[in-house]
Amino acid sequence: MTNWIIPTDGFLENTKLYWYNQSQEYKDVGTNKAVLNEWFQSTKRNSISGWDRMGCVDLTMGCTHFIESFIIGQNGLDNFQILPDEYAYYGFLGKWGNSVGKLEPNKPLIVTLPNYNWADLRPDWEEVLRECEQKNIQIHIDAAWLTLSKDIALDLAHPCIQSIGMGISKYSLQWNRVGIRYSKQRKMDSITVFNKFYIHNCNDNLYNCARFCVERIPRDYMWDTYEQHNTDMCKKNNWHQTNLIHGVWGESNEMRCITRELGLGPHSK
Amino acid sequence: MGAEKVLQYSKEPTSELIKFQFVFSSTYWNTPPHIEIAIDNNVYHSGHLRHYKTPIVFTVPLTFADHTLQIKRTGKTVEESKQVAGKWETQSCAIESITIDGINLRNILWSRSTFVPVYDSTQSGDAVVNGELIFGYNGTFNLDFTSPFYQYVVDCVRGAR
Repeated sequence: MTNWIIPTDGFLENTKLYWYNQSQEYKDVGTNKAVLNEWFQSTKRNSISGWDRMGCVDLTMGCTHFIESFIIGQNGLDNFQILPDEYAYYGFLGKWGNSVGKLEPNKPLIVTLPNYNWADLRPDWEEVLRECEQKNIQIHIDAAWLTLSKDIALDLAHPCIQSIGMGISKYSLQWNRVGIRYSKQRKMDSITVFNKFYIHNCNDNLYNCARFCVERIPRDYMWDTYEQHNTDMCKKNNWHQTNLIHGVWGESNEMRCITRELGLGPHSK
Repeated sequence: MGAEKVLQYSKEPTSELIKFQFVFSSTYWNTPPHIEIAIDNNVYHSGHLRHYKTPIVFTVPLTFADHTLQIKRTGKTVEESKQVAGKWETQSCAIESITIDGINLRNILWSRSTFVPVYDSTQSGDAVVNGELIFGYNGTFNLDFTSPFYQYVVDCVRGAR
């Protein structure tokens, strides 16, 4: 398995410096949420439909918060399922994947999309959707990698899809993890508490900073900026381009992180 | 892919689908207690309890508004109680737990529910008993709540209700 390194560049690094070096403007949580909501929806590189079906829009502290809040909402680790080849965090929690075709009926599924093993949707995604329809399985999507993706098509209106979490941190913003959970119905969980219980000044600093950053970083910044470079590198090295800016299929058909080859490593400028 | 930027700002939903989970406990030597569970006067379960534990689960669509959960307990008559070797054997009925939208209500039941007993001609007592989950008498358990349910819980914890 390749060692994934989140890409960054001088522009993204300077956004952080800019935030720290200038006087920071306060805006209310509603404004911050609206800016982030618009930013996530404004991707032109991906085709995400059905936003209007996700009536509950809540700020999060990123996709890990989305996952943990989901687990709390399910009342524990035994009350949801995952697929194989998932985010390592689930393995740390002792979760094992259920194969497609063997999903447990009525037990909610959390799934990472795009999935870094394929740098795309899962190849079995359509089968997953069908099985979930047949077995009354709610789907919750961790879309942490969507900001670095192109050509990802998702219809959030699908009746099984109940929520999706997105985060800004893959734009070198791990130092200020913020995201949005879109859901069709709220449950009592951590994100609901942060949005509906701690309603005064909750995480103002995080959210103001996130709003400041996305006002300066175009939604599809990585692909808009580095598509040609990625294409040239793929041609030169006989790699197959994927839908993740920093992932390719290598010569031996293995998934490979090319953050350093693109000159976008954490110490590249 | 070049999808056009189309912002689809959605309105917050106006209803939700809520799972209700009940666990009743019961003992009897003759006939089991009968319960009828209704929300806003719509009956979602009606039947006798089993010995010891009876779980009941159903899912209900709720509009974002005020609602009332009612549990009507019947079947307790004088004939259900008898003395055996100096001890009373009778028909008992109690709520062990009510879990709504995944939240075990516990303290909320204790502090916000009421039970209205139906006394027979030989019995007397309070017209309304607060927080009673053990139904020695026939009667009706009531819990007023609101939807969205998470907001009701938040408001209860915050003391806004």
